[in-house]
Amino acid sequence: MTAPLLSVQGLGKRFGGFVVLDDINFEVYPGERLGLIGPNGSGKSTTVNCLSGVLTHDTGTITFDGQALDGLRPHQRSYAGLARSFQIPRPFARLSVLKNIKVPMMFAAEKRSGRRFSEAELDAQARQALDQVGLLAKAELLAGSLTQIDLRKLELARAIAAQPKLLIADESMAGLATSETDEILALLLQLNSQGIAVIMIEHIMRAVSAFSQRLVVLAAGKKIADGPTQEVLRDPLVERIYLGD
Amino acid sequence: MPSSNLRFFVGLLMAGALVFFGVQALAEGYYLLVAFYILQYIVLATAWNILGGYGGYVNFGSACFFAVGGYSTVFFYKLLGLQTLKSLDCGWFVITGPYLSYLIIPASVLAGAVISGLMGLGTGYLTLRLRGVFFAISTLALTVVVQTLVLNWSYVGGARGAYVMRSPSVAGFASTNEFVFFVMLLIAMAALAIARSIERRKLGAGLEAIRDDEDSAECSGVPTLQLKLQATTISGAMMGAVGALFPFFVTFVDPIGAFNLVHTVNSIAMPLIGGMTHWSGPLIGAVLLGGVQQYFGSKNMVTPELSLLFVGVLMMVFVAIAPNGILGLWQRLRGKDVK
Amino acid sequence: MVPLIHGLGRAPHFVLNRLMEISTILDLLANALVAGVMLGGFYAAVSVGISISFGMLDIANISHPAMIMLGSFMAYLINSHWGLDPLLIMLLIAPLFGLLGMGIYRVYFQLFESREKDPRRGLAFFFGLLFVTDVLLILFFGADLRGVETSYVDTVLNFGVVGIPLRLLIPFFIGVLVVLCMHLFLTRTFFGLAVAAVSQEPLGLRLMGVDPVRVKQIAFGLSVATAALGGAALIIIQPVEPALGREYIGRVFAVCVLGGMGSMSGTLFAAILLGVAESLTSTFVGPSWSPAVAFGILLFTLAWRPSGLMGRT
Repeated sequence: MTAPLLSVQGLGKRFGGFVVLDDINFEVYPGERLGLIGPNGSGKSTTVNCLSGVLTHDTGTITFDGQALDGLRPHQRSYAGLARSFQIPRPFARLSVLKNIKVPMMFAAEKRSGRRFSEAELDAQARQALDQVGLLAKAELLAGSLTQIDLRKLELARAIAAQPKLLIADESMAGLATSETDEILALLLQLNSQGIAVIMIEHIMRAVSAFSQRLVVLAAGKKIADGPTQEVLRDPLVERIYLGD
Repeated sequence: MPSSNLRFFVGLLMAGALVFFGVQALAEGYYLLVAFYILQYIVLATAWNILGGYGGYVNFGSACFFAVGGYSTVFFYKLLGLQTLKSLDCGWFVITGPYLSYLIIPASVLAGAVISGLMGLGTGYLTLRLRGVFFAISTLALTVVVQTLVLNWSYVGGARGAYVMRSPSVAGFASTNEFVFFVMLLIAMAALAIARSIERRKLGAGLEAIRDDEDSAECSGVPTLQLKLQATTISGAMMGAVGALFPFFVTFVDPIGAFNLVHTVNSIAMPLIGGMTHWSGPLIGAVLLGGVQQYFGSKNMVTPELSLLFVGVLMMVFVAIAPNGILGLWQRLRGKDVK
Repeated sequence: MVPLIHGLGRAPHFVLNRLMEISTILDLLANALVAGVMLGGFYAAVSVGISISFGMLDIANISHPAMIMLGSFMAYLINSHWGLDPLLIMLLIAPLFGLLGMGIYRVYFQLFESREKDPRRGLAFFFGLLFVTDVLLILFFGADLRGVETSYVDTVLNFGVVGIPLRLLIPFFIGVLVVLCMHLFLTRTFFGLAVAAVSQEPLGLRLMGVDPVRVKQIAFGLSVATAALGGAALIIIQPVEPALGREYIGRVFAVCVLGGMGSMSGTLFAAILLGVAESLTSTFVGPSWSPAVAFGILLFTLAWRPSGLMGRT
């Protein structure tokens, strides 16, 4: 029985009097594909923000790769190997696409590898990463000028450039056309095949069910299901939550 | 790339030599004065731009960092009794009058840099965890407070101001003024080199990422607080350095002149008008705007207030229609994507 | 310590002196406290505008102090030419300043409000407005102090040991009144509720047929109008000069931040706190330390009240 890569225990978060997350527990194993689903407002984004450190959770513990993440700033968590993409892409708009990739490499990846990257190395690695997602031709463009699908690819590429062990892909397919969704899906599968565990947060059911090995379902801040994908999808409670979906 | 570094430093040294010997050749004190002030503004603008242009955190306290540098000179002058110093016995050798400035002036510059740098670090530590607007407001309020403190500090002269007596001559230079000008030139060259170095390294990339999206930068591994503090400290130190040199040039320091808003306004307007994304932007802005102000000021065609008004209006115009400054306009003309 | 034997004969005087000292200190304390509260009420008047523009609309209008000074100088101008009482002038110029504020917002919105734009530009814009106004005031009025002539400028009401000058009491009431009116406006009128909602629920407002931009524009106009009111109140308290505005930058933002960024009652409470702190400092340490008090409170609040100030990207 392998140790979990990510262990979330008793995670709780409130905004003022409003409880957004209530006693959330789940685990992610190395190289696993986990889907995190739930209706709008169920706390998925808050969970992601607590995991990445953008928000400070009130109760509970987050353990990653044997290390407690509680109290660590987001950049420190990236050094541990946790990466996330943002629901609405947040590129460095005034930097080139290439430089957008170089930043996580210079900081997160370099720290993780324990040695300095030379200028040439950075450049080569960055171009390779862009090639992987099909953005090499646009390397010199300003990130702010990209199309939606390209922005999402860049968003994922930036997260991968940090050389993580776990990638949290927060609604990376929202608002895309079917063919574009498939592109992203293929990309995530490819990443996973390289050994990166992925938590996929998505509303697009076919994508989540095709991708995930396990599902965690949130509703109104609580976890209501956790198990193998097909089992969870057949759970009457889950069905009720997704009435008509 | 080593060759571009070589080109930069050779170019910098040549420009520096040109400025120095050019001013010397022109022999009129007026040109030295103008050049001194333009160099001073090059440093202030460059310093401001490290935090404001690269990092996106606006500092409204440039005058404060500048003045603190100036007053650190006044303070140490009084403290160490440098007014009456004729020679200094260092044990192995004695530094006599014409050589004293070689020690005192650079040491003062260093002291001013350290003190203003620490002030930057302190202010940053207290306010940089929050949104940039709070840092900006704090620097604005800080200036008022420090100015009030200095006004009431009789040791450094209070409202009456203080005189800084310098050596009547400096070995190797035609006048003390010329030596001070030389030191300013060195500081300006150093400032440009530092800015360029920051721009090309991790600190610069990290600051730009912070500017564009701080949370995103954090998640990419950028230690945002650390980098912001580094930028604030370096920026403050540079401003303090030229502030510390200033008393040696004008020999009289008073709170109204030292904390003058014109330093703050220019340190923001010059990078904004020149261009905030490259080390050459503040340089362009300082030369152009500084040159214009010096020209009209010297001809007594405008009062200081009108000059300030002009800079302010120009700044607002650029902010409105050409926020990327002259560099940005030029890039657009060349058809390139503008940052 | 006075030696016991030597002091025995002087004990009664010693005790009496001490008692007088204490009573003087208590006297000073009482007056300082009351003056502080009065001042605080006035600070509320000048800070309400920032509570609206910065606290509620999230616009860092650092030119607000310049608007206050503009109000003061307008009051001076009208008073010196036509002899009108500042209280009356207040009512006359407030609508004008309201229109000015709306105009400023229009320009600001056109140029900077859309999300792609740099937050630095807005800051630079208002900074430009701040010192351009400052410089214009210096050009028109010079650096001298300007005051107003009123019938009550020297009247002091005495309540036992405490003396309250009318020139403090009236601005205090103005401050309380302005805060009260603003509070009622924001909670009881439709438009006021719209202002309160406009930052959080612009979509909701649109769905109700209300234009968020218009709401913000009028709210900003209101904030500048209150600056005029504050400015006119200021000149009742003391003669003014253009440079005075600088002290208010720290004050108005300290009050807004300490008051909870947008709460009217918070603004009043914070303003009084600031007024008292400044008054006590002025009396027992020295009058020149006042700007430091506001700045200190600002920093303290920023350091220890993270919620609502952080994570508001």
